[in-house]
Amino acid sequence: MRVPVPLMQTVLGALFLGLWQAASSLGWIDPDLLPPLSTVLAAAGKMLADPSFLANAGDTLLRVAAAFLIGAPLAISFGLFAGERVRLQRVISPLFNFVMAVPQSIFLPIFIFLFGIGFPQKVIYGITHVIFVVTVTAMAAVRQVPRSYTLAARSFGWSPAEIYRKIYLPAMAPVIVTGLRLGLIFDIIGVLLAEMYASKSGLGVLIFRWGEAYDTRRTMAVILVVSCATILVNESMRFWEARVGSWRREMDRNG
Amino acid sequence: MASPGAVIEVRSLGKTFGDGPGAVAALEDISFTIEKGQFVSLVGPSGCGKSTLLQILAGLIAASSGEVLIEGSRVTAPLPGRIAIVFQDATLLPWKTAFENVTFPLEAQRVPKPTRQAKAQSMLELVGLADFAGKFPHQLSGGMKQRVSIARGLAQDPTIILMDEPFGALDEQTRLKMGQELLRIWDRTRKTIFFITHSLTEALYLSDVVLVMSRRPGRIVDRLAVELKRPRTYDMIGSAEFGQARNRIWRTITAGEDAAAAAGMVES
Amino acid sequence: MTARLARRLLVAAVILGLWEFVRRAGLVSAVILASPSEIYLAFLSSGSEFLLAFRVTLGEIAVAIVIAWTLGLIAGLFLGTAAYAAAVIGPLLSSLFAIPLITWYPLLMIWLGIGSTSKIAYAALSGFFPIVLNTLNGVRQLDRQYVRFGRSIGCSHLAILFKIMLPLALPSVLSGLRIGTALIVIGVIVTEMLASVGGIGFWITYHRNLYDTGQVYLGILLSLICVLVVNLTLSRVERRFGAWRESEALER
Repeated sequence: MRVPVPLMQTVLGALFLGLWQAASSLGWIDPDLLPPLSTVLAAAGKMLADPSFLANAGDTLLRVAAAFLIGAPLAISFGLFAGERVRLQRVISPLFNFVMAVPQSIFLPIFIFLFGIGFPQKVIYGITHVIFVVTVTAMAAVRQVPRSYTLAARSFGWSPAEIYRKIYLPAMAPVIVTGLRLGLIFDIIGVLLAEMYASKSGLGVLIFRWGEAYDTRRTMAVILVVSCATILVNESMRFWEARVGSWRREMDRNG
Repeated sequence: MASPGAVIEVRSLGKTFGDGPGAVAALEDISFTIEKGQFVSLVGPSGCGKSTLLQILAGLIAASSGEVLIEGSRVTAPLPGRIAIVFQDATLLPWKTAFENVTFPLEAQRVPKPTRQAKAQSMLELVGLADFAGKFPHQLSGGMKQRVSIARGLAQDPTIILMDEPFGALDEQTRLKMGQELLRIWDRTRKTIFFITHSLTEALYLSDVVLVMSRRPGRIVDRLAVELKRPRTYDMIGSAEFGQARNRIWRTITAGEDAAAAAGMVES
Repeated sequence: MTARLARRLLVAAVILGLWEFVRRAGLVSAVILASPSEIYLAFLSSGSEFLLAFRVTLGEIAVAIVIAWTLGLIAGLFLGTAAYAAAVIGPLLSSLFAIPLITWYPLLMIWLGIGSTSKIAYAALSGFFPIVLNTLNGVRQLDRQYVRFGRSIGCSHLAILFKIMLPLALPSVLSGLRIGTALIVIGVIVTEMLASVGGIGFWITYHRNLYDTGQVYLGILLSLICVLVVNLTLSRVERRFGAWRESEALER
């Protein structure tokens, strides 16, 4: 009898946390290096009630959101536009593929030269993270609409707007949502990195400063908060992805 | 109690997957024999357990009850070199050439290099692909890939070759041609062949004996000795005897379906 | 020289020319951009120090590669064959993949200092995830028929794993290695940028603080070259060993 998977995962998680708590509070591992889970959670709790922490968190959120809300619509529109035009794609694709092959973290100093270390720089840096991934996926979304849909749509005699809404959009939605998820993840990573490297405010700054000060407790607490938040974001978007793509899985299953 | 000419003896074979209330009986009380040099086909509806039976014959999975004897001894594990399998999808290793694919099992069986290379060469010639020995699977058509797979099976000089719907993925024309090719090869080598198919025509055309399997749980519901003379030709397919045999099998199968439907056991 | 290569070189030359021009004409200030000639001068004046920094970075990258490749491949192969373990751990791994790993670096800093060890640990961790996930998927998606085939011809479990499953999974594995190694290179350099006493990343940050654009761009250029070399080499290997996979895909 096999233990059901979700149960096993919970058990493993609980074991891990339990071991951590035990190792630290019982002194098997130096509690200065690895504070007990309980202490870290307590620190996290205090942080979430602390206004200056919340102000920093707010700054980070603002930057991430601004970058996403500006970059994503632009990228989708451009991607959808380019997706239809094969010639344009032939020119752009090699360029985009080249850019995507190079992780953008390395260009951070250049962004600092150009835009300083304030809010605009972080947002622009975040935008570049969002734009490439979302554009490429939007273009791919257009390309992967099965030809038969296009032909069927035309034969129905619908108006172009109706065709777009009822057939193309649902067909492209899953791929676009995947792109948005990746774009958001890259956005978060980019903003946090920029904050850790050179910034006056933000969660990244907090993590780095406390790290430099050997404040293990607080460092772990922020890392925990950020990690949980990102996982939440990722899983929520995955959930959305699944819902938007459910008709497709049904199709695959029924052949 | 083993009969002298029998290569394979299957006695009261049963297979159930899982246990308790959710258990699924795939095979029930299967018994038959295959004589040396015979071409025996097994037909039955999809999902009736044909592949399960083949895997038990091959020693890949264990039976729940009953036994399989090959030349008198029980089959409990794969018997490399004695039982060879030809799969539906050819299952050729894509990074190896046709030639290397045919030598591969012999390598695994520690056959010395000169021997296995000579064997591979002659088997590829036998299936008519000597000129394609250096080609890779993705450069070959579906029919050619199956022929390589057959050559691979033959190269092991097995006691019996098990074939699991080998022509299932091919189009009708290629299928007919491959059937003829197989008969030609069988005639030259006189290997014992156990051939699974869901095409009644194919089964009758190729075999000495046709076994008919019922819906799950699979049981042998008929055994037909094919009276058509060899060598078989296409026009036999249109003959009266062929039609009668085919109808007999068809009626057996549909009777089973009707009975199952009446008993409310048909799955959606 | 093929037409395609000639065209690409021409495009590169034009870009370089424009780049140089934009600085010479004073259209962009020296504080923001360094021209190709300035980068070259920076290289000449930095001499052995720059090369030393490069050696440090390369060393860290090499060790991280060894660790990530070994652990990633073994874990991926194991999980790929152990269905239950894969079902339990696989989703956990891919959920963890979304976490911004860079935020964990300060913790590594506390535990391992700001020397090479923390860089190697971070980079190895970054590279580990894509390698495990791709290897795991590559092995799991194999048609089980191949395993049955291997057993029927008398291969031992290990033989089936290494002679049949691994080659079949190779395209996925190589893809994971390519992504993972690129992440390792960047991981080392970025963590050096954040806090270090040596290496290319440190070089970049040090000179950024001095507003020495030439040296900064030199460092960035070298990092780019490293990433490109990794990508190109591994793509080449991927294509050579995965050729049959692409032809098959085209067939369908």
